[in-house]
Amino acid sequence: MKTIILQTTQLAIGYKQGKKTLPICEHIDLKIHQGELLCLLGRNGSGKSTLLKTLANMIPALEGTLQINQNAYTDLSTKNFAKNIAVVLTESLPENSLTVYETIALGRQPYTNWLGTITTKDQEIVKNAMKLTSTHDLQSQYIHQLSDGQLQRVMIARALAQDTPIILLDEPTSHLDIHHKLNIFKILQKISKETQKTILISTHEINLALKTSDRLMLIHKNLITLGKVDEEIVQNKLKDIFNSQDIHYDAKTRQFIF
Amino acid sequence: MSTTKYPYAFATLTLLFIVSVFINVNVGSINIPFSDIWHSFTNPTLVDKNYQYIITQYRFPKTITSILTGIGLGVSGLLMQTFFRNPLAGPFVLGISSGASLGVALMIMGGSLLGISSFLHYFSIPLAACLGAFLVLSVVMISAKKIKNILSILIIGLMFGSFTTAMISILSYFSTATELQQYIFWSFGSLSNLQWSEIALLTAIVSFSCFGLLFIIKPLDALLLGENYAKSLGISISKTQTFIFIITSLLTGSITAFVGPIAFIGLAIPHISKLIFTTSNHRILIPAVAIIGALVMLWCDTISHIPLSGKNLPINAITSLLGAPVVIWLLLFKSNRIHS
Repeated sequence: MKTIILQTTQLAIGYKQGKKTLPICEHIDLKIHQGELLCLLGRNGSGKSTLLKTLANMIPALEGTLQINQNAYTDLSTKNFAKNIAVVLTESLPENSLTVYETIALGRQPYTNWLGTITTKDQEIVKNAMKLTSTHDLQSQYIHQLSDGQLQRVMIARALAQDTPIILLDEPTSHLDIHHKLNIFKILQKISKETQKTILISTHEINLALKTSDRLMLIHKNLITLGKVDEEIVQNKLKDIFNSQDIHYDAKTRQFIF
Repeated sequence: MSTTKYPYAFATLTLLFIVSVFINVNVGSINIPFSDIWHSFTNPTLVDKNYQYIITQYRFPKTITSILTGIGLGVSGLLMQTFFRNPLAGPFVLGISSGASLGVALMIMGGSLLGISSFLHYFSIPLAACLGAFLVLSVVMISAKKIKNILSILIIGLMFGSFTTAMISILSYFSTATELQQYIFWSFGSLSNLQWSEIALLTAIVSFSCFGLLFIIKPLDALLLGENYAKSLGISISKTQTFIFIITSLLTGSITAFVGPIAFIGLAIPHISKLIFTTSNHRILIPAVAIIGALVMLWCDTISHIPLSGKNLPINAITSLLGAPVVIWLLLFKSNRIHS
């Protein structure tokens, strides 16, 4: 039996507009295991980002509860929460003169003292994060000098340095070319294997997701399906979401052909 | 600049600072010899009586006020730029100085309009200015919660500027000649009208604020990645915001009250510091901004006191002459890095 690290019960996600609530998905019961690599797939506007943001506690759940290691989100302080979930977001960074090393070291903030002093232990963890993401050679560059692919690796390293059991990534491979897409997915796969972290990636890269993830999370028409790639229910759902006259799912080779 | 060079940079700046203090005390309608300035520190009995009087009653207060103003406005500007994630933010651009001006205008000229005899108590002008700054800053911060587009926030700040200008013209229309004159002189800005007791108060406020800054170095660094990342790192945004809020209003409010609305220093100093130190790390930037702010203000003051036909130039003119080109330069050469 695998350990459940993240669990939602009767969760409803969506937005509040004044007094009205605009639910996107309701009655979500998810059990996410320790150390698994999950990909969240769905069409544009299906609610992928909303789900990810709710799991990251960046927007409040409309209903239901969320738990990490059986602790409800509402019982965790901001600082404790930061020790459990790290994120890689799609938003562009504000203009600054941070170096790669400084950026990754910011990931240590939940553990550092009130002045943010980096100890030798922190340095060790940062070094390790750089090793896993091959960002070591970039460390003294400014982050505004990096290419999109390099920046994404740095942001993943920063999330790693936060030393959390869970990392959530919102479309980490958008604007990247095919080489860098593959590279990012490979790095994430390596991290999940070597560190036993739970990694949840929201993505549009169906084929890469099918190949790399342990389980798939599919969001379509206000319903969420979670399961192994070869399960029939997942297969059917995949066809349901993405099949059209231009693209179809080939069950044998486990990929979409267009 | 690489990290290893920071100590040299700070040493050089400190040296420049000491030299600038001497030059600042030296320059004026009467040139005071450096030896006398030195002796007034070490052995005041050696100094000419008249010089001694000018130094202690006029030049030193002005020097210290310049230093405090440079530190305070520079630091407020840096806080605004980090918090609003915009290189063009600053106490003046965001309308905070205008808020303070409105507070002062109400205090000086509002009396006759509202039919209350104005009681100009010792602390009433700084208090009014701080309240004005506080009010505008709260509106700007509340808007920042609603509007994510930072350009719109800057426009709101500019609108506040026009709004206060309008309010002040109405007030001046109804006020007496003496009140109007008092306000106009205040608005030119002056670093040399402060009593020692007022300087003590300003020193206390600036030191208190700088002490408070220590507690937000860490959240400020996290905010460099944007609000969402900062939150995910365990930073309480609302607590940090309150801290920045109080420190900025106190600094901008009290400085504006005592020396008048000083333009551009809050905007330009953080940029000059970032350019020299090429870092975003607030542990380096805050002391850098403080010392460079003090230096620049000392020089602005020195220039304004170079004897030209026996009159001093208004300090506001000097800071704008320096600050406006910095902004233009920013837009011309660094615009590719200014995001909206």
